[in-house]
Amino acid sequence: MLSDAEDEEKWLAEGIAGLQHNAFYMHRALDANNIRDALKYSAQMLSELRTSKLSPHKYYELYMRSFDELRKLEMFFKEETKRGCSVIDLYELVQHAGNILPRLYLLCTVGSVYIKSKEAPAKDVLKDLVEMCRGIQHPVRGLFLRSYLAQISRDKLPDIGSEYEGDADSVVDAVDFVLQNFTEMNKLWVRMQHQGPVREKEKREKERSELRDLVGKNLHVLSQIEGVDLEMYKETVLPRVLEQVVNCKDELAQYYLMDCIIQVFPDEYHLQTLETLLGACPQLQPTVDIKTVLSRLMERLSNYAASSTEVLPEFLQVEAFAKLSNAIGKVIEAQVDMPIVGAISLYVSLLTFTLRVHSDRLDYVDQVLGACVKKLSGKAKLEDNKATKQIVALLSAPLEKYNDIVTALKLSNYPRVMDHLDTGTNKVMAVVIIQSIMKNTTAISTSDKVEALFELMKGLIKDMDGTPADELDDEDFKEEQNSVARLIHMLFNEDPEEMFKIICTVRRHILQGGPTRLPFTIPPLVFTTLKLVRRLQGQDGDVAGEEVPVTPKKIFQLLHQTIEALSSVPSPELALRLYLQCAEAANDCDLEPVAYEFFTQAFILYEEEIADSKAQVTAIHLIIGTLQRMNAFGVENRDTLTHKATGYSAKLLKKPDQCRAVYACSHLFWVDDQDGIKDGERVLLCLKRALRIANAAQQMANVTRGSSGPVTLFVEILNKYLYFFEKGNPQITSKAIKDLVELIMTEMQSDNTTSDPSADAFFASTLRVRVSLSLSLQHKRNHNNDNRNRQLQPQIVQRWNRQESASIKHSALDYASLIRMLGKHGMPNVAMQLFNGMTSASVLPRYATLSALMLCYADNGLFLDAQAMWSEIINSSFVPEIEVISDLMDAYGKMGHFDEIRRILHELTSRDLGLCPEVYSLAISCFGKLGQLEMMEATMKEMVSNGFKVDSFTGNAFVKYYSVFGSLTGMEAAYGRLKRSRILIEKEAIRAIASAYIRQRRFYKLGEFLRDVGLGRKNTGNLLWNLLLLSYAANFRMKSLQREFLRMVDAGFSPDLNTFNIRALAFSRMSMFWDLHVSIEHMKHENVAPDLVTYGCIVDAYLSRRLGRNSSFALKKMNVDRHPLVLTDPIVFEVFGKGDFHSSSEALLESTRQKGLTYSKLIAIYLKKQYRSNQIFWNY
Amino acid sequence: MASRRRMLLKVIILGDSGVGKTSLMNQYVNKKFSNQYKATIGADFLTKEVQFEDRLFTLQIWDTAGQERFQSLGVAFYRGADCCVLVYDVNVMKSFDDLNNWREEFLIQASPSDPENFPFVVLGNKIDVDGGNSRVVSEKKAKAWCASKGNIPYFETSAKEGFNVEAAFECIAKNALKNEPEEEIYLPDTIDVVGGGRQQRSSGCEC
Repeated sequence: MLSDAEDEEKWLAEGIAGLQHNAFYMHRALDANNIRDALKYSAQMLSELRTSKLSPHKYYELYMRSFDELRKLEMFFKEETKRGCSVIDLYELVQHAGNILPRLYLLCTVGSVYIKSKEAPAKDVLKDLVEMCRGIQHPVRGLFLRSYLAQISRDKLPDIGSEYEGDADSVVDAVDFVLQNFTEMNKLWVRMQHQGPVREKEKREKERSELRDLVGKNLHVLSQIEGVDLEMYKETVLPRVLEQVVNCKDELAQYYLMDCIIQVFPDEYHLQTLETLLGACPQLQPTVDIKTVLSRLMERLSNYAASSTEVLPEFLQVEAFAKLSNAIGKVIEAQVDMPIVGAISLYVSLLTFTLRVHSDRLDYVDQVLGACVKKLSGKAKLEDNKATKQIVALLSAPLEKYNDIVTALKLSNYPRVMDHLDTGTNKVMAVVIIQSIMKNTTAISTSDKVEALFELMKGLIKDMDGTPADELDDEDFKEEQNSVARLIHMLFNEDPEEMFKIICTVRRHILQGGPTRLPFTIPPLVFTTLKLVRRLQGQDGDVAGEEVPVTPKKIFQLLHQTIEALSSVPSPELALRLYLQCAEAANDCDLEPVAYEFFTQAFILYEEEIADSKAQVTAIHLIIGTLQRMNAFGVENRDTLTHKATGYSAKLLKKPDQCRAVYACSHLFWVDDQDGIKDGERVLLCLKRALRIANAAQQMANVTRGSSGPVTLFVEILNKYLYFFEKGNPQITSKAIKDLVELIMTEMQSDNTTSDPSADAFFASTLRVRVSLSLSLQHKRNHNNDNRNRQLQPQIVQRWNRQESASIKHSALDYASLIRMLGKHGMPNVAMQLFNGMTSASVLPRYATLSALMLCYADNGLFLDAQAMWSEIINSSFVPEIEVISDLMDAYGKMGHFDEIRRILHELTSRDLGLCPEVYSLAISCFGKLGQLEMMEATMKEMVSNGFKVDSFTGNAFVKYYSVFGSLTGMEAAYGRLKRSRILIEKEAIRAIASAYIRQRRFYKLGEFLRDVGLGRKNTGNLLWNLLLLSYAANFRMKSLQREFLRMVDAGFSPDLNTFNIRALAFSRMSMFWDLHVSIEHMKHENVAPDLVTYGCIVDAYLSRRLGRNSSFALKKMNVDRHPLVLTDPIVFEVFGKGDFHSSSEALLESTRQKGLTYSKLIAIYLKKQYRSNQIFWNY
Repeated sequence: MASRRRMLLKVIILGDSGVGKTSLMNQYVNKKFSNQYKATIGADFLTKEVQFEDRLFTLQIWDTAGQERFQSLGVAFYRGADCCVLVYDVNVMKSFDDLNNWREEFLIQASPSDPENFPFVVLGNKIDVDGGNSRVVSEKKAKAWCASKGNIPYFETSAKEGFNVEAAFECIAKNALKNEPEEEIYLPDTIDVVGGGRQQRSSGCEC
């Protein structure tokens, strides 16, 4: 048995066949001017429309075909009348058709010609036709016939200014005609539901719905009649249409036609007839979805109001708000069964309308909110997700409009509406409010407003009833609390007294937050309070006789109590930091006892609460740092605190920690201010104590590991010595420093098995500092310090000697590597002294040493010295190594000394050391690298004219640098030259050229180039093909992309990761999900592992279509447990950029260093992020 | 007979709601313009006689509903179109972005025999608004899109001012004329001298 759909297809096919058959004969008759046959066959053709077997959709297809054929017939009729045939006769003639439906179609067709001929008044013909059509009472056939009538009469209505307007014909007739046709059609349409068996009711309703536009189109025609002015609309059109709508008592028709009226007629008309239109609403069937109708009306009117300020008076004049508000109230009242979400969405529409039209009337806004509260009152918190979304929209609208929470705070009903939200949504709304404040940097400047605001966002501030805390998502919670923190920072008032009130208000609220929230909210409050303290700091002189309401003392008291609240968390580390901050502020206010008290609190916490050894280390350093900056303390207080700090330092768990804390304490006795304490002796005591501890640590390491520990501690202490030495502490002698340096060197030597490169580097840079230090001190002091430098150099040499001889069996000493190291560390002076020392010790410098020294000079910008060295080398019997020349040229090049490069080139080539081609090649690369294309070109010419053959490397480099720095034309010319020299272009140059084309987005050219290179080439791997695919993908030429991909495979290349990713990126950007899936499957089949880019293609494609949830469909085919990697050729990103997922994941990978991240985790994080940002910026 | 068929050129105007499809048609056919927005329901057409190379043609211009909910019967009227006009509002990015959908939808539904070469014309309407200051789609961007779709002719128009409307429709007519009609050549199985040889299928009622 055939299904309904197949059945229908069959019927339609038969209908079409019959139609075509008769149309064929009709055409023949038309060509033969045989009017009788033409009418006969056209009638038979139209008989196909008598079927009852087709659904409206299929019937419409058949109708359209007939319609097209009838146009030809109509043209024929027109020609006939021109040839003298009477149109009246034709009008009579067609009525002989046997069946009524074909007869009426033909009649309408001739009628069209009749009106056009103007042999009778249009209105008479129209009237006749619209009456005649009553003959068809079958709904589907009748509706289509009448829609045919509407269409052929469409441009022949006696409208104002139309050629059919005349004495006898006026726009009233036109309107009458259309209204009559509309009425008849609506009746047919409504009646349809009662015809046929009850069990097919659903199908019938669906069919009726399909037919709706045939009826609605009449309203469109009415709206297009120019003569329907406001007057006529108000007096005739709207009342008659509404009468029909109300009286038909059919839900579908009422809903649809109300929508049509609103959409097809202009806004001005609606405004002026608002009462009539709204008056019809309560008369509609109770099941009609009036809220959508009204929402659409308000949306239209809102847009109209927003279109121009000139139209606003119209709204006021007709009291649009009152009427709409009233109508909505009535509808909500009348439709008791309307779900709550419906009512709220009506209020949202009304609010949007109000904000657009009456943005100055806050009372209206509040009134709407109030009405909403009334509707919600007596109901429990909303559970309906859609309804809460609507409420969020309702509450967000005023924020968006006024960009100012302060305005919203004036709305008395605003918090009441919020109270009806469930806890989760309440929080979302609170975050929206905070974001609005952030975005607009709204100043909340009085405690009253702060009070109201915090009351509004209490969902974020404290636990609401019945929310189990563990249900909260940790990350969400953090973000919420961070936004509260940001908000606290925003609060400000110029007046300290008011600011203090604000702070007290905030404090009162946040202290209710409980242990989970306090660590987020207390710090911003403390810092905001401290800001106030700093403002008062200057003006704190007690004004005699005047009561100062807010004093720093009072504020510090409050701070003390605030921080104390953290003990309930408990969070001793945080509290300790805050106490120290307060201590510092108190110090700056010169309140010694207060500062001392805060320090005491900090120490108590340290003693009693902070148990973890790492936390202790951090805490003690914080304490030392803060204490060092204190200047308000008297000797006694200071001593007490210093003593404690030093004591705790020496009691830390690990020796290295002890050592570091103790030498840090040395700063407590030497403050580098004018009146700072300067107790050199106690400084030295600290440092000595630190040394002892370091020693002990070293020995302990010896025992436990069988080798010495790192010497870093000693080097650190050395740095302290150097610091205090520089600051002029007389207790620190140069001898002490020298001893320490020697100690370190010995330690390092014995340490050669476990040499720590970072310690070496640290030591080297410490020495470097010392060189500069001793130089700068030379003329400051007349000590014997100046020879320290000289002492140092033999030390280094000595140490080097020892090491060298120890590790490598060397007969002669090689200073080259030492000099190189010094050069790299920017110590050419030391290198020079070393060299001088060498020569004075009559060690014969070897070539390697000379060249190392030369490079050391050149790298450090000492060009004259470098030149001298160069001359020495070139004039000696040494043949310079090509690497050295290369380094030297690079060094000059970096500094822009191109002439030097040319000079070296000439010196070398003129000597003919057998190095010429290499040297030319070097120079060419060197110029090229620096973008000096002209010099590169000149060198190339010179090379060729001197008879040297350009090798592949040089040729390729030449092309490459043209691509990087030159114009496309220059590049193409260079490539042409390469080809003429019969040098094969290599990978690097190909990439450079491709990159240049990509930069200019000349993808077609790129393709041409690749074909020119030869896609068959095998020794470049997939590079050429991948670039070709890229060139198509760049322009999203998907067909070509596919074609070339197949060709690539045909040519025997197996696609690699790049190939797949290029395609995947193109598919992804084009949202071609199917192709993307197929490509992933293919990849799997080829055993090509996807990388981050591939995953990104999928994630981005799905998210861009808001299908994030569905991405797992594609991802499940891939292994998501791998560690994420990017293996794609970066040139791909030059075309496509990096996808959202790709770049955001890369940032994450870089920042977290979290091990064990997998694709699945990355995706989860990313989706969450996206989801969150969507959630926050809900777009209603 | 081809000649009669060719005297009628069918043009379909598509585009988002509110871009000015009806206004463009009204301006071209009736030289009238109204600032008021009135939605179109279903499909509606106006005709206009045009002269081209000494021949008269009837341009049948189909205006369509931009809002999907007013297109309940589907798009059977696309059938036999000679040219499709895609309209967007230069001040509304989305209307431009949607052109691709309209074009594809048309090609799928009308399924012309040679979709690659089916004539489209793109109109960027409302260039008069705010003296061009509120415009968000540049001419360059629109032209680039047109070029990428096989060099679709592009016009910037203002239905309000009547700017470029005539020129655009001239081009539309020219392109419609160029479109080789897919003649559905119908040949009856047997030439039936008597006519009406197919048996009449009776339907439910006698109307």
